[in-house]
Amino acid sequence: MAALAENDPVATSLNLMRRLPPNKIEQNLSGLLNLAPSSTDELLQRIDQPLELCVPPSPALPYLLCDYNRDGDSYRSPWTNEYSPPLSDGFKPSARLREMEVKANDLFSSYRELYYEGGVSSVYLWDLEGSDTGAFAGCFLIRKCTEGDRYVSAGSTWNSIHVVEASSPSAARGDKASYKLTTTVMVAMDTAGDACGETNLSGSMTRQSTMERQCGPDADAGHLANIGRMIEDMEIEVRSNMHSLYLQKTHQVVGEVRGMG
Amino acid sequence: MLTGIAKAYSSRHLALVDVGGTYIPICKEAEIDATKYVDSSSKKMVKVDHASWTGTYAEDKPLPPTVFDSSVEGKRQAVMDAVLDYVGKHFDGARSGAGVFSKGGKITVVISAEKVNLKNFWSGSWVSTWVLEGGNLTGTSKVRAHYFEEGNVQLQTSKTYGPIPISSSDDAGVGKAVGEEISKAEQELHMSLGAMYVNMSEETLKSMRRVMPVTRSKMEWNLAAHKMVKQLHTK
Repeated sequence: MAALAENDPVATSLNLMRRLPPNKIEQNLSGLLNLAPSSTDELLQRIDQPLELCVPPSPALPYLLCDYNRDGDSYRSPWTNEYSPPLSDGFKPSARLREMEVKANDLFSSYRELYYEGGVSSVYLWDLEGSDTGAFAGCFLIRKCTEGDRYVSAGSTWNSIHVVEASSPSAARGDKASYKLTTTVMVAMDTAGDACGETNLSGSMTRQSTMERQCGPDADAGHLANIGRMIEDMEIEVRSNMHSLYLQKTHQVVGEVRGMG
Repeated sequence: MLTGIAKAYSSRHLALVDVGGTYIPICKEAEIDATKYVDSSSKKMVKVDHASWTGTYAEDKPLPPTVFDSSVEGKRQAVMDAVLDYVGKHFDGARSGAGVFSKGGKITVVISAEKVNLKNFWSGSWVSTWVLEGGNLTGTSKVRAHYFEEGNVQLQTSKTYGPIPISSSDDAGVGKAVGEEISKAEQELHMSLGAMYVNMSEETLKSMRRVMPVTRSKMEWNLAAHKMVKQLHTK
């Protein structure tokens, strides 16, 4: 990430978003874009928003919307590779990458079913420019909506946003590919019932990790396995931290303000 | 302009102003004019600097006679004593302050507490407004907790209470009853939040994402393995 000057509108916007209520991201982002319209592209890229879901008419599969599958006002389905509303010249991944993208979506859907037993996942890949022609990047997304329980209303959500940068195996590092993963998980819960009045507990946490690993004879399959394991390990850690560090921490904070007596 | 924004913010959030170590909440009931507020506990006027959330006692200025409703002053004092006692018991670890005001026979209680620990990336506040009118007590509490180390997680709670009938007729009895009801209702809210957090770790997060798959082992990231499983399932 490039260093940002203190009075740079993007830096101050990011600072603000870190403090504004996480259950009002869209409104806050909209307000910020009004104040700093020239920073729109960069802010849309940097500020994670809860994932929106597109449910096309059956039998087409639902998919998630984000800045990475957007071109103008249209979004590309990872299942059909087509834009909706249709675009004649919408941006699409290269043939090689599209093949990988299809497999990635299949694998990630199985992963999603294992851990989330429901929800929707989408993977979008894109080529990276530069001397490494095999380098690519991608986002791996999951959105899960709960059915609710005694205390938490239906419609509470978990959003996983994983952005990966992958470089090809290189002799200089023992034939290993290198990966950089940035993960943001956003959780939003509203309480049901009246005991807690209207309570909203929402938040996000971001983590990064890097890895170097070989890909084996089938480089693309190797990439997907490496990235998959990296994401799985990251999600296990984030889920654990989300519960203990983040959610429970806000409970502790309430206890710091008011003692039970 | 900053002063105007600070004042509007403070009034909406019942923010505390530091008057040499005593804290008073900024609210419309305490307002005498844009920069002068009443400390209802000491019955003194405070000159407030909104942008810095500080104030100084204006010892030389007498309170306007209409600041409090003299017809219910006995009750107001009794409620004030009970509320200060409650705040002392429960908000001792935070910056806290309270005000009890009266107008047209109506008594309004404002409780405000906050604790900020930026070094450890958290802050929280608990503010309540209670109104005693026509023998009934109603109230609202707003609780906020914020933790922002490598993330941004916030709890926001808004709970309304009552109407709770207050049947005592003498001032001391009213003060005691109001104090007890406020204490009981807010304690219940605090405990309900606790139960919600326990439930969250047991049910809610699990319904969002399992800790481990049913198979008790991590995913096999091999497309061939999954294709076989899919084919088996569709038979």
